[in-house]
Amino acid sequence: MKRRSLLLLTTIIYCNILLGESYSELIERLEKSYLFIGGGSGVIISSDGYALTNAHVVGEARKFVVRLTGGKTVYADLINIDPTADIALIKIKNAKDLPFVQLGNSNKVKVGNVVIAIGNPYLLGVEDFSPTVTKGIISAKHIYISDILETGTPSFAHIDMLQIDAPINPGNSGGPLFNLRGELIGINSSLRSRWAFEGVERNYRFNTGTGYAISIDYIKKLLPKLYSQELITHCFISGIQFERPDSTSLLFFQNGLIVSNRTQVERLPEGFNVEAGDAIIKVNGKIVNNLRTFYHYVIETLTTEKLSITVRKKNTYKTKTYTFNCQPYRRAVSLESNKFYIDMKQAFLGVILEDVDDLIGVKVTKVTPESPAAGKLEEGDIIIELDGKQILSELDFNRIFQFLKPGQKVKIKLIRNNQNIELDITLAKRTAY
Amino acid sequence: MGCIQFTNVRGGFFTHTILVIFIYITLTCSICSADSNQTGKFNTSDYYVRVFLKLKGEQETQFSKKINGLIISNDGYILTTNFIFFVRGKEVEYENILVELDNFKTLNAEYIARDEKNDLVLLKVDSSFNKFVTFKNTDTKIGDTVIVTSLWLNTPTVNKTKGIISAIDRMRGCAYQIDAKVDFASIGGLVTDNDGNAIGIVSFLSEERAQSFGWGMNSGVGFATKAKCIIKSLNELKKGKNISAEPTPFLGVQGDPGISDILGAKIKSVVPNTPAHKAGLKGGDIIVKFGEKTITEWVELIYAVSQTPLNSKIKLEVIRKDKKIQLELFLDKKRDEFVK
Repeated sequence: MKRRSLLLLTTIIYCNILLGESYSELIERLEKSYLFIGGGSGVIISSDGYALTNAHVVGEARKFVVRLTGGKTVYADLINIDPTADIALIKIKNAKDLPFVQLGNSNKVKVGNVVIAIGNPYLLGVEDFSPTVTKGIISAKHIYISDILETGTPSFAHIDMLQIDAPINPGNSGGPLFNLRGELIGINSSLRSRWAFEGVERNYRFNTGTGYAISIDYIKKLLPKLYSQELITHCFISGIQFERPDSTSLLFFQNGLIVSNRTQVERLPEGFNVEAGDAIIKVNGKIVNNLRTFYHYVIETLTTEKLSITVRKKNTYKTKTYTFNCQPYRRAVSLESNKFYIDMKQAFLGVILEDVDDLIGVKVTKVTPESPAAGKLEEGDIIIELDGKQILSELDFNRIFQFLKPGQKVKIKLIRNNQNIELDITLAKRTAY
Repeated sequence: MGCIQFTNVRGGFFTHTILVIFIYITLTCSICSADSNQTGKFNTSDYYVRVFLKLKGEQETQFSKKINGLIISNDGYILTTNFIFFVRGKEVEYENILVELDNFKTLNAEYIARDEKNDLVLLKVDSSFNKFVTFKNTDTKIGDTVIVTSLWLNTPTVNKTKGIISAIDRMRGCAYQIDAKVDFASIGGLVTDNDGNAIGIVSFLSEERAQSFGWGMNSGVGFATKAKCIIKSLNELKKGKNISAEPTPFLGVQGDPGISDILGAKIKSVVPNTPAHKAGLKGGDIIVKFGEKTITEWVELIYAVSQTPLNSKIKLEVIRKDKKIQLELFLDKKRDEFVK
């Protein structure tokens, strides 16, 4: 009797597995949540129309047209963007009961697991709005790619990515990566091509076996801020310099990054009291022994989190961990998110600003004619105070400016030709977007 | 079978019924057979040939590149693609078409006809064959596993790559897009599904396409003319009738497929001596209407042009420096004249 019921139970379970969603049905269902966004892709993550894509697919657009598989055209707004991590959250207008996908867990994904990528390489799907589906495996996890060593300060950092051999090509950006259960485990973002290098035409940037998707676990960390439209700022440590490992010196045999005496200690964040000769061995508990990894682990930390750096002190060789609030990354990439925040605000001043090196204020590089700033502010002025609050960078300026209203009279303190000047300017209403 | 083991099972009628159901389900189980090794069909090199040309006159090389071909009848019909017959968009002048069997025996081939729309060429050799490929029109779905088989150049062995069907209606409905790695050595090779059925021939790959559209060798973007279209074309091709491609008109503008706040297709630059140039389009113009169609982004413009018949006259609504202007477009140039 026991044997019979066991067999029966097994058969019932077996039947359930088979009568469940078949592989083709799974693919069909996943295609429904796919979005064609310009020259790239996106994926719907909630029934009321929120969708994820890459920041570089959105570019500077704030409201735009997107298309579902099959060609249905809908309008979407940008909700929030994080250009450093290359993720953007958009929302489809007037959306109800849209097909969407569940978010998976990239920490549960194993190397060798089968994955499915959906995208629109080379705009091939434009004829009948059917996307391209490719299949492969996870080749590696926790990959970081940025241009930090080339430029000194990164303009982007692809953080905690999954390396896949499912072919992805230009046009797949912003598109979904699924596991076989149909859960979203990554957003396809970039590839490392055998043929892609400076000066070579776009036409040679095709997949040669390695593609990368930003892991869903990292995106989940950003999602609450993306939804709430908070400005997302990543950590950076400016002023720190490291010794270059030299094969002839004893330094070569030591682990960690040796802090050099060229470090500008006064620029380091408060609470981070490293000295020249200390060796940085861990960031947030993760081991670092090269420069790129160090900056990657710093940049993946948000300014709302605390940064922990473990050093081996130079004289005692004892380890010490410094935990502190990091500095927000102020340079290049912030500009795009800055532009976004300016656009969201109602008030209009009429200036284009640029950070200055020594962080004393923000420089006016252009004054829009016939704007509130015209006739009052000049090119070259360095604004140091806005509405009574100190300005050290464009980010500070926008953070304060977003709360100002059209018609409001604001006090601006600035430096012009080494003279301190105070002005009152009445803000106008923003009309152009 | 691998999924279950056959053992002696003691027990009454009930147990045996359950077991029979069990075995039946396993044998038809799609998950189990998802990655079965194919046996038998089209796996040996004698279904395949190499096709190449003996070139005419003073050439750098006497012979063209070799591509694959498939033996598709017992009286010697060979199916291949247009690849060796065109270089940089121009027809190659040749003395002979040569077909080399897997054992390196070389035969002269007769040119029967070409299908430019579906990238097929039909040849015939004066020989009979026991083994040949028969195409099957199947209900292939996106995500299904496919295997690409081609003949190695220097030995009588087959070369296989594996992937899935990425899309089923490319090239105006006559090609599968596959992610199995294909390169110039796989052109004309066979695409089979998981059950070993011949469902397509590797096609639509060339140096020019790689340069204009971007998909290069082994990029994971490849195409195969569908069995359905092969079977239909062969009816015409065997009668010696060429099938020409519906000429796609060429507009002559460069732009950015990225999205923007601008509802329209923004032009970066205009190619000289093209319909766009003659219509008076300029860099910076934003096309908002193409005939009756409202254009909200770049890809809509590309699609609209590809759907318009050659030699059509189209009224364009364009925004130039914040002013709306009307332009007349005469699409009298073929895409093939500029891009192959």
